[in-house]
Amino acid sequence: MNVDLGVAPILDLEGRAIPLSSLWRDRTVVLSFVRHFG
Amino acid sequence: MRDILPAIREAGAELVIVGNGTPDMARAFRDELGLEAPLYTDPTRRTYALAGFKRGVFATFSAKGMAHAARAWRKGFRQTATRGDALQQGGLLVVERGGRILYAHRDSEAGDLASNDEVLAALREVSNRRAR
Repeated sequence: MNVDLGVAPILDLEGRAIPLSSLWRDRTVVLSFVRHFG
Repeated sequence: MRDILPAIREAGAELVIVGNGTPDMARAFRDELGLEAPLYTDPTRRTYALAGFKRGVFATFSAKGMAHAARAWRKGFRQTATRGDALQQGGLLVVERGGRILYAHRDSEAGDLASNDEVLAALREVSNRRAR
């Protein structure tokens, strides 16, 4: 697993960027990366 | 994964979905499925690459991938127009609070998904450590 994974940005539904690591800052996360949306 | 959503929450964890289309596509996806889990997207697919998820023609159109697609079709799943990268395979990570990766599954082809049992086992590891 690449160490840069946590700092890579993802977008919320309004298009705002956050680092991926914010998802596991406060709790354990089950992160499902889907193939595509539909 | 929706089947184990209650168990995930009971373990104090959260299910989060990440896709690779635009935020508009993500919103449409959420509305169509009535998704309750938080949803994000990475149109660059950089997170997919960093997590080691596969991408390519062979992963998508392998014999096993086609068999999975046929089975899904028979069960009534219909793929609408692809919203995102059609060749990108997905995967699943269970990441402990703070960043330790407890479990990783990289889909080897279309239809090859992480096992619910393995996800639950990873979450139990967190609960067990907390209990000690």
